[in-house]
Amino acid sequence: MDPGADEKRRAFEKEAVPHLDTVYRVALRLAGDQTQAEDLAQDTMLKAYGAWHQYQRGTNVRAWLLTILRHTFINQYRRDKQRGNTVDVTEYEKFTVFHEVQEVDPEGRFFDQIVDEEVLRAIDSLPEEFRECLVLSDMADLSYAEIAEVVNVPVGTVKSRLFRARQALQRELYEYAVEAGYIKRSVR
Amino acid sequence: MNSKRPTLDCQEAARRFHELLDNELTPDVEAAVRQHLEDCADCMAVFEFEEAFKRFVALRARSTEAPADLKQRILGQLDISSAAHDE
Repeated sequence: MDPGADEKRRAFEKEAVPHLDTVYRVALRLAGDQTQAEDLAQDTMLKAYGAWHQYQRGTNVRAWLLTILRHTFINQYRRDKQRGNTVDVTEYEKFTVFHEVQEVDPEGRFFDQIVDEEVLRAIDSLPEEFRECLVLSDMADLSYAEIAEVVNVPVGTVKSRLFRARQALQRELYEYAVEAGYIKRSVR
Repeated sequence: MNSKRPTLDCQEAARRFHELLDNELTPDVEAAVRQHLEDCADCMAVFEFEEAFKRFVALRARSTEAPADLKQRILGQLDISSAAHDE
């Protein structure tokens, strides 16, 4: 192996591979099933390795990997653009659950009773363009500017989608908690 | 709802809660929102609720890890990819 290839591999293992968990988590939320998510994450990492010379040192490698992941997903994996469109996010634009629960649970402790699977199901029910902003922010810790680069929309759009995604998710989980008996619906 | 120092009203402050939680505000605006929160207990209660919710989602959403064999498969493919380059 030539020294350049050796150095490339060392750098990739040190800088990119530690982000595999994040890449896989985002892949899972975009693709929707484990087998596809594994393939998508693997394709992403191998493409990134092939294009490692294009990565600009000092920039956020996670954002770079997730840009590759999103392109790969759209071009090779996405079969159903409507997946996740079960929640109408426009309905919840100004909604915060706080006003419904402030009398009984103002700190939102009822959320803690909701299991991981239910939270992920609720995230998956968001329309894709809202889900990806939420996932890139809350799972991958990208800044608004980085998310805007990854999904190729203005920062203002990211801000608005993220806000609405969180409100819709909050509402979904509140409704679930009411049905599961974790909290009583307030009568207003 | 607001008491003194009306640099931001409740509606203006509430519009910036998510940006504050995401560390996206400029220092000036962040200071104004934090000042409003100090002065307004009602807004502080809403903000703390949103903060707890964001923390809850981030924690639950990050509970999944990549399968152990996925990393091994990828590292194995890097060897193949490097070998192909060497030829």
